Amino acid sequence: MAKSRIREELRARRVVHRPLVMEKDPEHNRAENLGKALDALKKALGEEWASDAPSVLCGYARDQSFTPASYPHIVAMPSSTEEVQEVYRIANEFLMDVMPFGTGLTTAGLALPPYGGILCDLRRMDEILEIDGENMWATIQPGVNYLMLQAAAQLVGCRLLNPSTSATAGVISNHLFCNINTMASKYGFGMDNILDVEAVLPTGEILKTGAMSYGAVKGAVPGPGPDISCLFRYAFGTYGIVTKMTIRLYPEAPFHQQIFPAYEEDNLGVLADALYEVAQDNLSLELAHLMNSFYGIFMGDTNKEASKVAELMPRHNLVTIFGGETEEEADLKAEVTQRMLEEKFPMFDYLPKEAIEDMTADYDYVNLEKWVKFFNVTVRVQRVRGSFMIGALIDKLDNMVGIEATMRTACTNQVGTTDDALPPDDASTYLQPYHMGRSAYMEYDVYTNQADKDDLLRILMGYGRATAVAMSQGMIIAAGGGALVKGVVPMMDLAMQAAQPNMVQFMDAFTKMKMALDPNNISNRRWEYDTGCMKKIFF
Amino acid sequence: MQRRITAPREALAELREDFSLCGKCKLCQGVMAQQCDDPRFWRNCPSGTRFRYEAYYAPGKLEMARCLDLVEIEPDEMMQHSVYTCMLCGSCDDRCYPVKQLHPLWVIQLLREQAIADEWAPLDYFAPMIESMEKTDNPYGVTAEARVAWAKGMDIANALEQKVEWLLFVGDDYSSFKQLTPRIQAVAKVLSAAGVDFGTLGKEEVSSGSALLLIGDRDFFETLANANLDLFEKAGATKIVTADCHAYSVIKEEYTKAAELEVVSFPEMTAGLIKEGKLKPSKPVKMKAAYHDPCRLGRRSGIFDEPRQVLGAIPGLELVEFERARKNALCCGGGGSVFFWEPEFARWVTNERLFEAEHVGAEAIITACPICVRMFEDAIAEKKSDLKVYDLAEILEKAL
Repeated sequence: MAKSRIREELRARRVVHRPLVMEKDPEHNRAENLGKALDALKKALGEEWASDAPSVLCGYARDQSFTPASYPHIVAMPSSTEEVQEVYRIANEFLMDVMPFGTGLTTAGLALPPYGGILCDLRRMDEILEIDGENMWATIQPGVNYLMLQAAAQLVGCRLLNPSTSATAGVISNHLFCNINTMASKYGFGMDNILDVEAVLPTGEILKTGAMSYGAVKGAVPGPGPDISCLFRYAFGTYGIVTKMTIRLYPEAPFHQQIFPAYEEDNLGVLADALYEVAQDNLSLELAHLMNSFYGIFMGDTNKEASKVAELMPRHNLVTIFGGETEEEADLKAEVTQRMLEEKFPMFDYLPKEAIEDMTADYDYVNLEKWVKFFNVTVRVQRVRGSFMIGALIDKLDNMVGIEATMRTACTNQVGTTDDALPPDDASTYLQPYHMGRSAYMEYDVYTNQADKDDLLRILMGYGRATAVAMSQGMIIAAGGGALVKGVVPMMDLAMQAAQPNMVQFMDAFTKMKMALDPNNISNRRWEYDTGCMKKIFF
Repeated sequence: MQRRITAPREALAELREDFSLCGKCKLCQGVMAQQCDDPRFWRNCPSGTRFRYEAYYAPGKLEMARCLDLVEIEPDEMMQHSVYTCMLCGSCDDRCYPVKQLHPLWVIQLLREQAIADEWAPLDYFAPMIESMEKTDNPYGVTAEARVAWAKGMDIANALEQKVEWLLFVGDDYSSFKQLTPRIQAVAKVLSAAGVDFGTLGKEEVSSGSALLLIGDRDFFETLANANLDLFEKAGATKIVTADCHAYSVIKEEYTKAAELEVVSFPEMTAGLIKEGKLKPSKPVKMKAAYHDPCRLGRRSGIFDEPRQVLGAIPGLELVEFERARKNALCCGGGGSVFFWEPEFARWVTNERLFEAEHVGAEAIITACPICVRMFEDAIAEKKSDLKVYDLAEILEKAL
């Protein structure tokens, strides 16, 4: 490639060169093995489907999180379970790390390869292998996203548990990573709706779980024996790569009705009570709490317009959608729920549906009937500030209120402004009742602009303090479980032990399982077997 | 001193925010989610769909721009390939802007300009086109005499000799390919039938420069643009109509930075003429056809309704929509000058669109761009498909 004068000058002006990988590893990913591994991968997958070109690698080095750039050494794109086996075979042979990459939409640096190695991009495996509308399940590959599967499900009269993330998020990875969805109060999270999986273990062996493993009818009650599909929840590829999954679908109601209860005061307690009541009644099909700032997700052609929409909306809102076999049934459910809320929560306002329709009319990407089935938007946090930190917490619904208030204060104090609530563009809380309101998922997001170092530091510190407060009050970090608890966030393992002493034995079990399934410690390597410590500090 | 349309600049750095703030939400890979009814047709990024690596989707290219800006990586062959297999169809831009206010398309376009400036563009592949431009002012090497052959026997005014109200800018493709001759003749016949006072620049018209701008050669583009602007001045033309949507978009977006021009596309003008009653399509044209939105006319210029209004006025014509229509339309494969380098990939994209046309039960594809017509016609001939391809002007002329 010709060296140009302009680039030479540009280079001379720069002070900092980012390293390709964060640190050299003396054992894994050794320089002398990289070429051999690449050749072997090209032979196994086809010349086109493995690359070490920097222009290809750089696309996998960052995501929207604060995690610094971390380049893989090689990107491999297998197209089948057998090719994933080949990737692991080669990785074991040359002691290369393997980082699975579903569709690559992550908010926390989880698909960035911390030590380089082989990044296994699974987007060529993007088939909906089977879909059964009558028995309501679909078997899919890891490259399938919610947009594809939702459209396919609707063709057979079904729908799926659609999370509040971009429609292009991968179904398998999101279902394994909890999948918070607006139907959770009725049907649970996505992870509760996994029927079976096929996974390639780090040794290259294939593991089939659930009914798939012994040829029973899909959707049958799992067994005999324990259902080890759960092994892969929150595992992020530490135990292997899931290459197939069967998930439950749900019937698509032919008719819908929506009501929009809203509360202007910044009092989350009232909202938590209302959510509990609605969830317990079990009449609503979809139910969630949204702060006004979240409405910017849906509406507005520009950030400015989105902010205006957020300002127009009351501070707290309930998304309450009802389904029915007939229009009357959907209307009746909505009417009964509204009557109950009016009686118990006289302070609520109800936004007229026409007002919401008016607000969305100008945006051809917002279809009110489909707005929660297809998230045609990126999350608010990406939209407004460029980056964010997500706090995902699960606890009793009524405990959430106190914890949120303490977190908010901690975050606000740390950020160094006042004790007042953070403005919507700095932080948002979102409550999602789970299993008829017995517990809830709370998402606590703080937003920042990656390009603004001061802002980044300010928010990072605020988030850290808020999270520490939550943990000190006994809150379990929803997405922090599983094999990745060590190493996902610096000192998470230490903090967990302090805040949740009973986690210690779990972490010990995770480690033992990891050592059994991945003897060479290559699959999403996060900590060292010999010392038991995480090796790398992210920040 | 030769006027410049754009001041020289360190182009890519202007869009630092666009490539730094991409959240990699990947919405730019597909159609608008809420408008997707069939999972077979959710994808909308031609190069990403074919080559799959992140580098071939918009977020990967934004990341490349960021890494070049940070001097974190050097240009390599994969960068050349991914930057120059983008069809610049603008689908990513259309998805990203409403939710994030970023312009991936601008970044990719400026990456190409940077590639030319920094000498890492794959110019070998474009050398024949550039050489043709140098020799004949035409990307396909067609001489000025041959470029006016289509008008032989037609009574078309020369705007340089006779004052006309509208200047018909013919464009590169209509004047260069025999298969397009009846199409551009139809354009002229329709305008005449409506009583539009128009003329052309005849042999003097040079390339709009669109093909050069697409590969990032802004300097050469400006040479040609200035030649045309001089001719416009000489002819006293301030109202331009064109059926070539690539010419339409560069004249509208670039030429107007240096001259005051009213630029109208053929579908816009004919939709207006039908509305005014100056064009009355009355002969039935019996066919079931799907209208293909050309990227430059549709997404780029927002002209979606006018061509449909024209087709809607033609009796007997049953118009069906592609699964990916309007803002979701898939490129025909002719975008971004990719066919000069990767004709096989371009044909692969065209075939995908033909599959979609057959899927929606169309007997014919109607479009309003000469490159789209050419791409479809060539692919249909190769596939020996029964589909037919028509230019909007051709169908309209049949109905008059």
